[in-house]
Amino acid sequence: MSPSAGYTQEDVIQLAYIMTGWSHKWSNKKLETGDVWFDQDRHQTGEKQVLGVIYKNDAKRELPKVIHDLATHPVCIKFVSTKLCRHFITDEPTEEMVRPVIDVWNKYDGNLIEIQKEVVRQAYKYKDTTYKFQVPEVWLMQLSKIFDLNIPLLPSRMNYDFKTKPSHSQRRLSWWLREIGHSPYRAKQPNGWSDFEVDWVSPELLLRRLWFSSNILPKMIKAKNYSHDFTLECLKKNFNDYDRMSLLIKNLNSDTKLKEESDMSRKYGIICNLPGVLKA
Amino acid sequence: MNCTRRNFLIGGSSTLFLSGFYPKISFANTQKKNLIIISLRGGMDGLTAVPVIGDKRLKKLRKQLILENTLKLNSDFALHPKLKIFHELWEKNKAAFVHATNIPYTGRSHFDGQNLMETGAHTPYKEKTGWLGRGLLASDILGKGLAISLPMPLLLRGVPQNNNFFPSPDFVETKLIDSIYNEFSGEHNKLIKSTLGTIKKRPLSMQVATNSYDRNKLAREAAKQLHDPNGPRVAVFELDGFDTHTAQGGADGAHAEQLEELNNIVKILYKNLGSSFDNTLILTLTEFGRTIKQNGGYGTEHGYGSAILMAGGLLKKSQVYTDWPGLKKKDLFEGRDLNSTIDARAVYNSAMSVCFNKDPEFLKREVFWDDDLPDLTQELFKV
Repeated sequence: MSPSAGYTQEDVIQLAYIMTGWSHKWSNKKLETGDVWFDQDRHQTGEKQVLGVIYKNDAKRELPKVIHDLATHPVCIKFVSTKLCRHFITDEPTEEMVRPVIDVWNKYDGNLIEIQKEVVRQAYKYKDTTYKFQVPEVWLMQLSKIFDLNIPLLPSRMNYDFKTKPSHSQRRLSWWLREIGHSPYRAKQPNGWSDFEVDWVSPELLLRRLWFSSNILPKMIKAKNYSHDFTLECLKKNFNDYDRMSLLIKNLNSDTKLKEESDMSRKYGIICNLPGVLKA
Repeated sequence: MNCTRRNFLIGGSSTLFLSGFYPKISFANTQKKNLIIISLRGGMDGLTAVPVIGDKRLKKLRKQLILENTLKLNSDFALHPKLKIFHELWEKNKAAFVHATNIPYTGRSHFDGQNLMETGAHTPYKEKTGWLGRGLLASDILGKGLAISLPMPLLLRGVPQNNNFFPSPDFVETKLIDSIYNEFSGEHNKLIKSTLGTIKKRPLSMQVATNSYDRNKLAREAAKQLHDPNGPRVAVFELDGFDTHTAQGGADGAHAEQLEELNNIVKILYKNLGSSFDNTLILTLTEFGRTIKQNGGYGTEHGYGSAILMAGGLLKKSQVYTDWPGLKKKDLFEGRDLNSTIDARAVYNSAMSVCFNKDPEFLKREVFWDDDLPDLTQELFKV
């Protein structure tokens, strides 16, 4: 909810008391993780107070109550709405962009799908005046969508029971994200990855995107047996400056097998790193 | 001279042209000086790296962390046995240490501390640029920073056109960049375009695919770039893992392993910088030291005062520069940590002043908000 909620160190301590006793199970079969459970013997008893609200001694029922209160706090709603707009629209979202998201949040009682839909609506509304340089993860998801690649596997295929190691295909997304500099598990600061453009610009970070789009992406396209015409069709559907794009890759459609691979590599390397794709 | 992609093609003729028609200028004042900062993340234990000799209290409080076979520096201080290259350089007047020093941060959070060691500020997350970036900008040195990491470290931010080196697993054709470069126009594309421009100008040796997790390889390449008269003047390395709450070890163990990594990097830099080592300063940077007393898990907790390890030919002499506060209970910070009697930023400000040929007073105003940082250039460096 950010420090603008005006919490004190005492609020932090009290919240920590509410969380005592919660833990996750360690399995004896070398599992990485297990279910979350509540151990009454390790719970701090007594009344707690967070941000002026009193939580009566109520064991494991204290935590859901305080989470509910924090998640519906107006400061939290504004903070998360602003972050969402910053993530997708612009580094410095205006009051006019954030307001509709807050309204939808309140109207649908925090329904995440409705909130995200509103963010997309706002992003679309400001598409001609804002040019957000997308973080690597969003860029990757856009490529998946543009070229119909299912880069994040379907939920049914991602589903595994924690008793076995995830398979190669289940782990590949995490590896790719790491290689393009955006591993979901490796943010160095507790506030997670930055949403500001400047944090994602360095020569090597741009090169990693070129590496992915010219080395990994063509292999995936090939595996799907998509043709050159299919690529053009995808670009036509997604971009206004399709003519310029197709011109840039016009000569990269070789018939000879020998040249095919390097042409593919260049073609996707170029398309995926044009201003209109990096800044969508 | 190292060849960039551009002058690779025209290199031969232009070199002849230059040497033939221009008068030879003296290199005495214009010779490039390098500043290398190695970030030691997690809180480096100054008392393990540069232990004080014969302090009974330290021995008593660190029964399981006693160092054997330390390398003696002078009558008061020794060096951790893994820091061999620093000892070798000490003998040549090319290594020195600042002890009982830290940035002015007395909290215990890695996140706040690491943010402040990079911004040089007093309030965490307030500044969006690093002291090194601001120092380069104030000295009009653009496009001469090299980071050995994938993102651009906060420390170097605030000055445009920095380069970094952390190659991808496969080769990337830079020809691709030529194809897209001109598509970027307008104010909102300026940052990306200038970064693509930096890539275009990279030397051939920086276009390789490699295993970026091999730190030795990266250090070798960095040294090569720094040795080039037209190459970078500033480099930033990142090392983490200094946060040894358990099983810190003594001569061997977790902290020793990290110091060995540091030793490796400095060794590679020393070997590969060649003659440029004499025009180089290498300084370490950390967010805080560690508690004097070992904990129940034979580790140490987050402390305050630490040490700065320095190497390079621009050092005045081998010395442990310190205003030693002592380790008696009353001398400790909050009764538990080595105190800091020297603001580490004074050392960095003075180092920048030497390497960037700028007045330390000027840099202090431009970079550190005119904070009270004494000029240490006479004491520590060759001026």
